[in-house]
Amino acid sequence: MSTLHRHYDPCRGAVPAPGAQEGRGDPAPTTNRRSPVPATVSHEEPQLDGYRDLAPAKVSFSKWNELFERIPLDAIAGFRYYRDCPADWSTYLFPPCTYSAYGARHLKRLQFDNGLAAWRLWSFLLSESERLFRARQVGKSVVATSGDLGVLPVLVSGFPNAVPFYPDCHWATPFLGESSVLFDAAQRYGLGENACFSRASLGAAFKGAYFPEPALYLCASGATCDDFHAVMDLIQWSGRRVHWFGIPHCRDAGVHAASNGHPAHDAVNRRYLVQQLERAAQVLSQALQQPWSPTQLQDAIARVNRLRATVDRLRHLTFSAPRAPLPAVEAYYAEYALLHYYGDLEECQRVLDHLLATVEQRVRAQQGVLQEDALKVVWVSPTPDPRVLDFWESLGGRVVGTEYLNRQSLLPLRTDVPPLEALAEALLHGSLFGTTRRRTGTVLEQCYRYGAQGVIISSTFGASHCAAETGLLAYLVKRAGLPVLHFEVPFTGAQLSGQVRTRLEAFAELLRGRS
Amino acid sequence: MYEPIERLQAQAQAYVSEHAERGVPLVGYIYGFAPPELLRACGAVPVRVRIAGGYEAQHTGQQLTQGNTCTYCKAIVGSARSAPLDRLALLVSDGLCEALRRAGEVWDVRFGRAVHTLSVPRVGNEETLRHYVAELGALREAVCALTGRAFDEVRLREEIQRSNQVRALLRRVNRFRTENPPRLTASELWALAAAAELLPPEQAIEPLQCLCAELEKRTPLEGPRKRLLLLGSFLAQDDRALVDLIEQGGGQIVCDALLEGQGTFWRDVSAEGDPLQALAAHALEGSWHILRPHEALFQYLEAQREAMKVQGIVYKTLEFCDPWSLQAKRIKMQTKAPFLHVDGDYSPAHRQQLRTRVEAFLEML
Repeated sequence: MSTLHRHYDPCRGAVPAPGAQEGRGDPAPTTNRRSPVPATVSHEEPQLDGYRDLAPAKVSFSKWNELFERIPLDAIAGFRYYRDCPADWSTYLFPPCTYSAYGARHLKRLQFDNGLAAWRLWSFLLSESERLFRARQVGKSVVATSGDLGVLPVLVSGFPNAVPFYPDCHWATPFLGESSVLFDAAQRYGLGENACFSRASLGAAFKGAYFPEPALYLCASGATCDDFHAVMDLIQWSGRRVHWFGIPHCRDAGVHAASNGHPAHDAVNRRYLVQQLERAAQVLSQALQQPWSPTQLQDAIARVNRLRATVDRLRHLTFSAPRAPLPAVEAYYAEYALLHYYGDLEECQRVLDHLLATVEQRVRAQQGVLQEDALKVVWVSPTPDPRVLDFWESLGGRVVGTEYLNRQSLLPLRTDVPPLEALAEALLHGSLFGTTRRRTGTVLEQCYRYGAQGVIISSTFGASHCAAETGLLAYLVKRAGLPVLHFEVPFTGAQLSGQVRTRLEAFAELLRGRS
Repeated sequence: MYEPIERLQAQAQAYVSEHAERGVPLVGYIYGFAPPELLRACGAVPVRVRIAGGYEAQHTGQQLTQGNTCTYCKAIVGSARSAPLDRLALLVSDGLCEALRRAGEVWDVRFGRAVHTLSVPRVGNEETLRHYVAELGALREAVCALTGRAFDEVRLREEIQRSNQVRALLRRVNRFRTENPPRLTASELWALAAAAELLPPEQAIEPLQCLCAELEKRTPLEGPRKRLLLLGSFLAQDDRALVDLIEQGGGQIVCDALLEGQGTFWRDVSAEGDPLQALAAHALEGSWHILRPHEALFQYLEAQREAMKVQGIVYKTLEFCDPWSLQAKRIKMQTKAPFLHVDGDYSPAHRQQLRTRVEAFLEML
């Protein structure tokens, strides 16, 4: 731990900052309220003397580089991952230009939340690749999970010193780096443009520079992504150790045919999933050479539930506050932290606690990063290109609900049943594994709760589930009386697709005309 | 078409129409994960959804789905309101892939049609079999609720036994297409198998026995022919154009790795033990296409190549059929055989281009 003893309170109000410079709006009232960050975490947090966030705003890449100079150096040294390791190399808070120089060119085109907590989140996620290599260096086992979005990493976290990650998430790497090199690598193995952007993970696996060789690939199969299935087939063919994990399709209760919602169906699926999880735990135990323990899994569930509760509160405040306290991109990455905690569950909790404290403070102070009359939409399906969310906000839009295919990672895991059953139940509620009708229900529920004026579905060209589901989802939303925009996010390198811009602009006009 | 096969086709169509008019529920299925024996034992008439008029149906379906959805699934959606699928009382959608699962849901949501989505496992282990048996149990109850009939296990056992007889006869017929020169083309065999599966086994057995006898006397086709193995996406009615081009160009598909082709008769269902378990095991054993890890697919391909003296592989994929098209390169690299990959939709516009490719491939062999 660095020698930081000075006081830092992320909940304090904004610094009075005269002038009309970017991100320096009217000063907000200063408050002495303490951070609600739980004591178990806050006592490990670096203390900052005199640092205070500016009035919340979205700022450019260059502006954040300037703002970064305001952060005391000793505080920077205090933001560390793997704090159980004595090494001093695990700091991750660097200015945007550093990450950009290391390949995240896309940062230059984005607008960011100007709060320290938000940039801490960015830094934490941008340093994930490095962290996974470091994990190996300090004797942790890295396990690749895929296709289930948020449940298998809990199982992996039940093993001490095991670090889960999703190679699938490298679907965004070509966008972030504005480079098609990973797509080109996948193309050599037959995964071209008719496959989802997750094909980039094949290139990442084969190049060996994006994540270390995992001890095991744990891949969901069945009612899930067909594209990633193909990626994993090729990874297995290359000789890597893959364990397939079956996820059944979940029919709805009470839908049309007599068989749908058959009462035994849920019980049958639950039993099957528990068996699949037991088998996966055994395989993990062999691969990691550690015994599997339900008690340790229960502990992991408790830690993950805490993170899920943090994100749940963060989402609710972000979506419900009169002024958006957090931009959509940062909210998206906070939500996606629940997938695999960006390689360090404990530090991830601290990062999100910090972010939540900032958001709570902003809500209390009635501050936000967007206008109060912003056009509210629920955003459906994750986007590999964060610029579309950013661009929507630049048009006067706001995201007040999401369905990023991750419902299974948002819901709290049950603690009153055996731990494998709790994981099985989370999978039964997964976005991908059930019907479109059920997924639409999640979307509409948020529309009504947060007063959304429309729904935006950003789908991925080549992604099997997007192609198969989006038309139906859009139909069901329209049938409920809400305007819906659907577009595909193409890979366009440095420029955001003109077509996407035009369609978002037209949708904003439409919503404005209706309001 | 060979006249005895035409006769059987007509008989099968008449059977289905007659039962539909009498109000017997027609239950559509796709790959066979909903075993026809089970559907019959529940009092329904099983009809495999092979889709006729695919190009038009594909376009209709595209308006209700997305352009980049699998061609076959678009055609299923587009056929919901037209004959013969408009007569189905229930569609059993094999939840093999995302597109199939959602195509079934489009039927349900957009047209109010009854759909049962089967959760077809894709991981091969013991739990998988148990889960699939339970899925068949749920299907059984759904179909019995539809027909209003009580499930009759004795009848199911009889159906299995008689269906095994049909399978044995089809395997016998299959031998005529593996000769060089053959006495039966692959398209004739598939037409025959399609007709036979529409009929109840007791009505198919005798015509098939007669056909075997007639084939013994049939003059072999012009030959010798290049011996090919076919695999890939679902072989629908409109894909037969590819098979015709191969046969016209001097090729013969002597074996296939299609669930809706050779897969329909390749092995018997065990007559021992619990019949649902036997049906589930039969379906999964023949599912090397979809189960992971799928080394079994490559073992099967290797065994077929050797046994059938295969000279080349034709790999047919439908546009946006991800489970098959994304494997094309691997299969080509791993099989190391002369390989023709044909990817397309049901459009007739590319027919001449396809002819050129097929002819060039056959010449190369």
